[in-house]
Amino acid sequence: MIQSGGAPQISRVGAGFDDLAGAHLTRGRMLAIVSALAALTAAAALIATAFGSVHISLERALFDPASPDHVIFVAARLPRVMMGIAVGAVLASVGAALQALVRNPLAEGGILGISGGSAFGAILALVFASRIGAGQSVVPIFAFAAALLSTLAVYRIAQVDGQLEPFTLLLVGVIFNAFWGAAIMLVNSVVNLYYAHTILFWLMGSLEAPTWREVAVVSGLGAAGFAVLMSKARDLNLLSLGDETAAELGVEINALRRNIFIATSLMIGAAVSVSGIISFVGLIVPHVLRLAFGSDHRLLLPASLLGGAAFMVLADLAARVVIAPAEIPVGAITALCGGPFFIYMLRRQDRGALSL
Amino acid sequence: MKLIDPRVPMQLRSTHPLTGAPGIGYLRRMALAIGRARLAAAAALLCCARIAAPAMAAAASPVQRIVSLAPSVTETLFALGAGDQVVGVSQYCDYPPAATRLPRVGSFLTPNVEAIIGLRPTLVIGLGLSSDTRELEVVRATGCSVITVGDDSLQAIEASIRDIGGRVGRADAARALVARLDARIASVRARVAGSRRPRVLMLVGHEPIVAVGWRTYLDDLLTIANSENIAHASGQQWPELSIEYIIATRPDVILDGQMGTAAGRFWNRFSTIPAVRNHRVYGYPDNPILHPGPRVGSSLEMLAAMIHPARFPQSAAALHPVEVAR
Repeated sequence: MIQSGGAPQISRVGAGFDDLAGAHLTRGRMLAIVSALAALTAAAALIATAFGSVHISLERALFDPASPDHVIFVAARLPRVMMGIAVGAVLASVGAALQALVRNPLAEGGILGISGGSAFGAILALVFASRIGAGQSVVPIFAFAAALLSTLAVYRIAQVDGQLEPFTLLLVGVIFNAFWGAAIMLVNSVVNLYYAHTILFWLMGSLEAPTWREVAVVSGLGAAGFAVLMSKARDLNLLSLGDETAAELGVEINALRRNIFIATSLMIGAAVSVSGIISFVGLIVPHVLRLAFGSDHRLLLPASLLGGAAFMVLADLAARVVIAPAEIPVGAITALCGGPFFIYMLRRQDRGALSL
Repeated sequence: MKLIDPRVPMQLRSTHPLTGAPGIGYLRRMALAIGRARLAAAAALLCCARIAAPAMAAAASPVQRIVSLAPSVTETLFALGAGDQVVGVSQYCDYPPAATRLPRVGSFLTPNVEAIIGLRPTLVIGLGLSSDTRELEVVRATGCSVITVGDDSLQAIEASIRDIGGRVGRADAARALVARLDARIASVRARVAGSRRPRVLMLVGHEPIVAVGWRTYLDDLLTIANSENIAHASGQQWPELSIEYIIATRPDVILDGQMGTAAGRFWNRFSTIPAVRNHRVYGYPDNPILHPGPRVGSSLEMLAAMIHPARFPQSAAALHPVEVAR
């Protein structure tokens, strides 16, 4: 979009540059916005902890370890809310970084085929690695490796004469998505009923019954990846001026891409290995925040982290309570919100009105 | 929405493969499209089949060439002594051993029309619940009889045994089989009569947690075994239950399709559940428990022994309690 280089886009990029130069982003403004979003996330987490498919007494939950209320609170609800925070934060911040890196407003882990590759890796690990006694711990490793391979493949294939065309990238991502979906179905057709259920779980995306250990793994890997993204926030800003300009301003484009791809693959791999494919969170959240607060990634990345956490926790609350005591996969809820939003963004982009 | 039926293969109950969009049967529509493409080929084959099998229309004859599209139907046919009339079975038919040697014709959801017609059947038996009527219509157009039977309740299973018996000239055998089944049910009822009625959770999946809900034959079995199925509250046949609800409802017994250490690791987090605390989490074999056929009597006895082990002392040794690690 920007590379095609019409006059309106150039002026838009120019307008964005004022932003990056720091004209609007003061330390005070950044602090205010991040604190407000942190408060929002904390409120969402509190609400999500207070409600569930069953009512629990907070007093018993906290002070009576022998009560079911305590077990529900400590072993079921709290880890689930924490996992929602971790997964939502990962998905949204990865979306924000990828959109900047490939200069495509529709980029997102799910749409670029990264999540699909990751899910395929996780499923392979689950179904076959456990047979050779490798156990469940290899699942995140496979998810990460497959996510990275998928990302690099999509990126390479989408390059035409060394240029990354936004729509080519989107198409290649969609093709990879379909390919991974087919590969997963192939695995599904040769495994037994039990794994077939699990594969469905991965495809729909769900935060059901995570352990504290899983919460720790996703939070740890997510934080490490996010630190890398934050350290590259300035470079991501400059990248919106185009590869050549960014290079002239001292950005090592190839190293930047490598680092971001590895960090985002690690984050997506961690999230997918426990929650399956939860789509559109990485699309909706960064876009809303970009419209609200501008596209300086020093602000947009932490804002997406917090906004994604809040959105995911609330979506999962809906998944838990709407048809309680049964559950809806949270991926269905995010996709229900995200599908129409995606079309809306596409329509806006057609009119050239989308700023990055 | 009945999202997960453990008897329904993944390919046909899913949604969009990667976005996870809850479309109704995205893949099912794909399968139908492929099915439609096959119709033309099947129609061509139809003529050949007529020429090759002049005796095919003799549906009135008690001796049939039968194709079964479901494991429970195959089991019923063999149990009625009509196994020698069966010429084709579904890909999921794994009992009795003799059935596994017969040609495979797909399943009740994805019947392979060409393979079915190629076997020159006089009678095709599928499941009423989810049979792909479009494909069965093509088979019916060859002049072959096509019937479907139900399996959503114990009553439906007995009715399907009688139906099938009537169609294959084994009505007496069917009546005797149903009578034996009724006797086993009555004997289980008698054994559990007067016992305390425990709350039971029966799972058919872990990730996600899928339970046996109401209006299923398994729920009938749980009721006959004098237990209270905690998944009734969902109002669904195969609900994806929330773990919070399970902890709060405090089931006394958990029947878990998954055996071994993974199940143990899953449950030990939730130590206030009476079933976990008292080592009343049992693994069960999916064969025969998940086969709604003539072996439903032994399934009932297995489940009843897990729910009331004191009333079934001779079966207690055969139980598979899941080791809940501490």
